Amino acid sequence: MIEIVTGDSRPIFRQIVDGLRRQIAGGELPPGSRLPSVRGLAQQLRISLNTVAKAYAVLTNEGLIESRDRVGVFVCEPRQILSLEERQRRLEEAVSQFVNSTYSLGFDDDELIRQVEAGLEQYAAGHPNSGDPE
Amino acid sequence: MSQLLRQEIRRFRRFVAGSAAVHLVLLWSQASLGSLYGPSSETLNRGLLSFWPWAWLATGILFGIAQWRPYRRSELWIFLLHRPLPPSRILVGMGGAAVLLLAVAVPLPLWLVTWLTDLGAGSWIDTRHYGLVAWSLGVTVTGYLAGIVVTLTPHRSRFVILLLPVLLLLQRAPGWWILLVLGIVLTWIGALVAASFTPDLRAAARAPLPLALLAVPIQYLALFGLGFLLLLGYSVGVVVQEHGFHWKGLAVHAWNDYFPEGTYDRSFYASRSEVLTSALRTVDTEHSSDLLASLDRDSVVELRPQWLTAARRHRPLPHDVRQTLWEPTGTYAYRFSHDQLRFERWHREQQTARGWLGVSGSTESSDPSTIEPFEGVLRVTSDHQVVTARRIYRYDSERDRFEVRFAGRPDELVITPAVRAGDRIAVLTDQRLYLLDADHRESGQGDPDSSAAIELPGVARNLLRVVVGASDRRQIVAFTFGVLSERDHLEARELLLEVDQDGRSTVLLDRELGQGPPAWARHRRFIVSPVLLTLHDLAWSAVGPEDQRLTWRDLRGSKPPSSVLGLATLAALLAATATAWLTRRRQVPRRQRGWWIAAGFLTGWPGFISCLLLMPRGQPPRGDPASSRALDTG
Amino acid sequence: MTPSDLSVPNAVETAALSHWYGDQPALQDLTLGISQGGVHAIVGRNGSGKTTLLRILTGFVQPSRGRCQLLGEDCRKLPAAVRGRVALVSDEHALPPWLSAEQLVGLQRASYPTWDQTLFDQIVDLFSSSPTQRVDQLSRGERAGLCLALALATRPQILLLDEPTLGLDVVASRAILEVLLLASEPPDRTVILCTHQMDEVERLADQLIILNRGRLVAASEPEAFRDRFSSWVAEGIPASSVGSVEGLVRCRTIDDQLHLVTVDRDPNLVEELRGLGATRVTRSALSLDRAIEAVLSQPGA
Repeated sequence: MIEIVTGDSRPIFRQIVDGLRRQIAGGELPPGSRLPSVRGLAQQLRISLNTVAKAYAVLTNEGLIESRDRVGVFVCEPRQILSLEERQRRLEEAVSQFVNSTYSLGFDDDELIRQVEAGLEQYAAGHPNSGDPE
Repeated sequence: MSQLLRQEIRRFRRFVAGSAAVHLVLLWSQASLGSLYGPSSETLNRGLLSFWPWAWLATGILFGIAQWRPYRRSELWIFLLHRPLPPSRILVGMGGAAVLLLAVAVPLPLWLVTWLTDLGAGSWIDTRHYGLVAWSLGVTVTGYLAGIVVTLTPHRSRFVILLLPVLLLLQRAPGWWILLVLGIVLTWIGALVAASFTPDLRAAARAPLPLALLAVPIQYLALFGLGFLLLLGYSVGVVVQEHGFHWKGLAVHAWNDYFPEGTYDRSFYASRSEVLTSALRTVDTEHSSDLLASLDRDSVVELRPQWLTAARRHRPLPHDVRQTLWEPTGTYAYRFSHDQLRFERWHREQQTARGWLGVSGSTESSDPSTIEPFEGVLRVTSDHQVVTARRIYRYDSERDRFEVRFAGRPDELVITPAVRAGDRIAVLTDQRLYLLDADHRESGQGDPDSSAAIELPGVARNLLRVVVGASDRRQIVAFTFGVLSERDHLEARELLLEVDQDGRSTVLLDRELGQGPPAWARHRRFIVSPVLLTLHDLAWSAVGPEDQRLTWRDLRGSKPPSSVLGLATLAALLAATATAWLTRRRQVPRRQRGWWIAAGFLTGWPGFISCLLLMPRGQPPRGDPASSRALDTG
Repeated sequence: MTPSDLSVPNAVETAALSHWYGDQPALQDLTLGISQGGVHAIVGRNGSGKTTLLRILTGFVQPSRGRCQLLGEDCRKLPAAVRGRVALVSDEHALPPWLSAEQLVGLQRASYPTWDQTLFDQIVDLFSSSPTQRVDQLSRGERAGLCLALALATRPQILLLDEPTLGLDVVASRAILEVLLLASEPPDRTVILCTHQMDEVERLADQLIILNRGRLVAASEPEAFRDRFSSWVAEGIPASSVGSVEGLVRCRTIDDQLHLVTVDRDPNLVEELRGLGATRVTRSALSLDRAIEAVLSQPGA
């Protein structure tokens, strides 16, 4: 179940993308499971069709979901469709964001790295198929 | 559109049914008292009949306000206007419903009562009574349109539009011409409604046509208002002047007995014996002193021309009610039928018609063709004279027929009823004054066998009054000419004649009458606005009350003194300057400014006042014109 | 803002549009193009000219100056056919109080050939009012629903909404939101929504138009608009020293910390603020409503 809130600093479509991505990653939506239709989700969340369509488009581009004609929207088998450069760019962006927001918290670098490792372990535990794509 | 019409009918069905019922009950009770169109006391009848047009007018105005008032709220106005229909069709739908509803509330009960009276009582119900039904609808619709203007027009001075229906009820157009007046008033207010019935009422009210249609009534009112103020100023001044250092108070000039001997105003307000005595004193001869000494002051009579107060045939208005003759015993009343030109005999207690009465006699049958009709529409005076345009009759109740007491020559118009002056009877026509023997009877048509026929020493139209007194077996007659008007366009003259027993007349005095108040006070409305006053006089000469009518010739002959012309020109120039200043201050668009300044010059201060009231105070500040042109670049 | 395809007129096109009520300006030099399709939210403070704009677009107010077009037709004299393709719902939800829903339907149906009775029933059912009740017996929410149903059942090409949830309770507002979602579904329909509810803007709007005191402040997609803003917290400098910072929209001091909102500023503001003497600087993103609030509360805006 996705929850959206208005008044957040993330746009609604970003909230949907993040929410679905987390559910897929966390295994709540295993590959092959069916997502609500664009209209259904829009009605459920009381948002416009365009917003849902936009969120689904982002996820489709990332290769997380696919839309099968007239049947519905389904979670894909995990595969990597982004190029190496794109993945690197995104990694850099995430790291820079991470550093930006943790820099001033006053932890030393070891503590930060330890926390990141713990997070990655936790993520891998709930997501057996993930690993180093290389 | 038809849905709109249906909804409006449903919306007001109870209101209309109620007012129709009240109307019907009132009319019916009035009719069963015998006073609707019929014989009753003259004052009662006149009062009631002149009450109804005002009631119809009020019904129309109230209905207009009730129907449109909710739409003053802009959301409801949008609801009404924002649909795939042109506004004109929406107006037709709403207005059509209103006319249907008003027709049920006003003319239907009137028609019903008239028709039932006609059916049950007799044929004295004329074409004109049915004409009155149509007239009532016209008056109501006029009121309705004025109600729309009062409700929807955003100008604060929108209420002046009510002046038009009021004038409609005050006018006295002859016969069916009344419909032309009705048409003009309906077109005027209708055009105002149609021109301003667009989504943006405020913008529409600034358009030239609605502005012009509202400006003219304002100017008309201002003409009289300013004239009245000038008169007031003059009256106050006179009182102070007259009593020197003794302040007497405020009063209208003439009541202060100020006008000097020999002025027109003095003669106008003088009592009838005063007219004779002052004229005789002016002659100041031994003979005139004798006449003055033996003048029988109690028997002095006066004849004032009553132009056209006799009814017009088939006129649809109930203004002419003096057409019922009472039998001395009171059993029967005779009601004049415009269709038949005969009296219908009406039994008062049984409320039934009992035959007809004409010049030659009466008949019991319901077919009046056997008796001779009158030659035209007549008027019954309070002393039972029956006056037509050519003759004066008297009803002889014993012989049940009319006898001719006076018959003028074929080209003569009788303008007063006969008046007893000592041992003579005086009759005034538009050409002569007749002084007949008291036992005079007409043998028939032709030259009246009169003791004296005095040619009028002036134009009959210009005749103010004729005073006849008896002195030492002679008649002394004073003619006063001139019409009391601020235009003083007709010469004011007074003549004093002596008529001896043989009917020979000698002129004792012939003098010009001076004017009492100064020229600027007499011509105050001319000074306020020559154009508006002339238009008013022209319109009123066609449809105004009979005793206030001027003719086109009178107007052309009118030449105000040059001082008045100068004052009027000065006032117009000042008004135009003031209007120019005002339009500049109120930032009126350039083209409209020109029109307003022209109006300020042509109509004088009334034009300025209309501009002051109609042009809004707050105008958008002038921006740089470049910004409004920077369209397609963005 | 320029029409991409010249054969399809913009839904709304205004140029240097100005309007005054007396000498009070309601709109000033507004040049705006709204393409067909999508939900366009117009946001502004009270009295910023939103209602006036809608009235001008439908011809109920003649602008003092400038040009405005609706579907390519001059708003000053809209042809009846164009009026039939435009629906307007006002904030008061005022309807003739003496009519019932049934009678209103009868009236509207006769005027509009495109009338959709099923849609009308569907919407009115959400508000559960009886069709025989007169308008003056309806609650405010029911009246709002009836207004919307009457407007939508005409299947308008342009739907103009003036604060549709103003003064409504939670349940009615939810129902209205659902109707608005329904209304925004047809791809060829243009919805222009004036609102104060940021919730509605976030959920519905494809385009955001911000007016302040009759002037256009911004017109873009909501996300793009928000992305231009950043929020900063700096310590150790007084408010007086940041007055010259470029792109500063708002500046408040809370507990010795300086809270700044900037527009169109890159992250190097950190260095600039440090240069001014700030000891610690943190940057964060801004929610849409705070971004709008920051713009509208600017004293000079």
